[in-house]
Amino acid sequence: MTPNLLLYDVTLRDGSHANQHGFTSDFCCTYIDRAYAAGIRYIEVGHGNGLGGCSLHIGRLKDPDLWEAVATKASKYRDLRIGAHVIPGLATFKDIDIAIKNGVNVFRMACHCTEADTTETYIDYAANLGQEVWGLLMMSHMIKPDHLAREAKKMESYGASRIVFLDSAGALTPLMVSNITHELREILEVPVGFHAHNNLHAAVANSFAALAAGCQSIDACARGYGAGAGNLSLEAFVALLEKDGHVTALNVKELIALAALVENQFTSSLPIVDSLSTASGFHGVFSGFKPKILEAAAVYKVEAMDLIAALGQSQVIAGQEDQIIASASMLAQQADLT
Amino acid sequence: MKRVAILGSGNIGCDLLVKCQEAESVEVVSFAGRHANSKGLEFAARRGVSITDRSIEGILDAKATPDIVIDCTSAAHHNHNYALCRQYGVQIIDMTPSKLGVACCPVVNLDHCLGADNINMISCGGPGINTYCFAFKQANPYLEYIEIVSTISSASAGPGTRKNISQYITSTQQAIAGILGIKGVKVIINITPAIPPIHMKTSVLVNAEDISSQSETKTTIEAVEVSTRAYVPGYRKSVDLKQLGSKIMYQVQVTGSGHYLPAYAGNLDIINCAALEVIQRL
Repeated sequence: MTPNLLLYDVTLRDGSHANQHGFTSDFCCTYIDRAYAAGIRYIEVGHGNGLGGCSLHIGRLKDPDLWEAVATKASKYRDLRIGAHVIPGLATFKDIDIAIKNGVNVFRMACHCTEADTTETYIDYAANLGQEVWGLLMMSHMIKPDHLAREAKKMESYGASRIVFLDSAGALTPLMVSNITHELREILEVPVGFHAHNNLHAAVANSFAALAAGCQSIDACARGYGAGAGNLSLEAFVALLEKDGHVTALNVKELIALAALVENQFTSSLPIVDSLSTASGFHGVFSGFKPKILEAAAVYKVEAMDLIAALGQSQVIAGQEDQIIASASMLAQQADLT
Repeated sequence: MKRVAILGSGNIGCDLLVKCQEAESVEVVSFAGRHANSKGLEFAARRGVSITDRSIEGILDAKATPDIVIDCTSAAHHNHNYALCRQYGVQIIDMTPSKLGVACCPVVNLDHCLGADNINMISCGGPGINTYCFAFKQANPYLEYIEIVSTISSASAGPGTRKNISQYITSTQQAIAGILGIKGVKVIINITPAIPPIHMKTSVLVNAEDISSQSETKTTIEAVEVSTRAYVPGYRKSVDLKQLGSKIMYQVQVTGSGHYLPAYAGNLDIINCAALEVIQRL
């Protein structure tokens, strides 16, 4: 049914949100070896917000030598594609140059779902350097499917060879995912992909809906290890596919061992669907904000739930971490006044 | 009376025209574009200014030549415009991110720039950003790293802004590092479609360990804020200095004057306010 299905492993990038950008070189090396052995051929690495994300604003990478380690693996496995997440506004062309030196050869140019034209020069830049370039639309629950399709079409016209829509807040339902996929496929020549978050327990259902509607790539993480409530669990999804008779070229047992590797290493930051994550999905607030919301709520002595609702109301998008602090400060001021 | 010509009939040029006409000591002698029927030229004509569709050549050929040309075109055209102005002995204020002239942020280094034949206003939002960095650096001389996060509304980010994000980051980082003598500068920009459009917000973040006294830093910021507000009226604090973990953050919001551009376009208003301040001091 899905002969061209590509499973894209974002553990070493989205998981960076979960451990506050704390992956070590050693862990990345072990992970890449094991994932490769399990049959994975696309692995994304880096800061949770991608190239240029390392900052006081979002969080510093704890291991600055991470990329050197990745570069050695990239040269070891010639058929392994190493991906990087690139958000114009955080990353610059220079970051792309450095990433290429470190063995990255898939650039996923990402922007808020309404701002596709900010990726034009970035897509152009990496494509001119001979790189594989995808277009990613984040927070895609925030606009109607036909609007999303028009933005996707722009990215395609700039030269993106695949378009992925991201449910960055885990706010979509299977029906919505299905509608979006149909809308995108209608208008696009290039393949479509989907990236789930599990805030409302719908990562598996949504990814199946995406496949059924014709998505050709699915992002996933070992043990669902990603931002907030986590992502689609790679091993569980592949197990389900295999049970239904799909051939994935992946080894489920090895994938389960990969999940165990993550589980044993990051016992204190394993994603769970707690009430905070559910609220975040319900209000459509970016999953990666969770640690920052907890921190700001504690510093300003406000309720985390109120803060999430306020962020949802002011339509805050990924990258606006400072607005979590601004909103918390405002809530605290309002509380003082009453 | 300062005799100025405005070169470039886009949003920046039109807004600057209104600001200059409202200023007592400034006379706009001509307004230039490249297309005879452009919205900007029509706007300027309605406001009673002599217009030309022959760009810099039109300005310099006119009978009433200016003392100062304000270049609101693009970095690609600035080279040519500057060369001609130099030939005619006319001072030029560069609103493009070409980086050819002396980078100027009024609160920080205005006096140093006044004698230059080419004064560069850095980038949209640049003058406002620098002001804060300057305050942090002034209160903490050993500051070695500073981060600036600007968020602007989609509605205020035109095609030029969207096509030049990488260059904007690089040139703003260089300008701040150069003017303040700080090695580590990181600039981040967000564009948000939130409705109603948000007014430009700029957060400054530093390492908490680099701040020797928070209260002194606060006092310095407030003083700089007062001098900035003298020429950018919509400048105000939106988050007070606060430590969160190992970082300290401060945020300002800039509301535009609403002359030609809407109030949310504080990012565009601020560079024009800064340019007007330079003109008045020349």
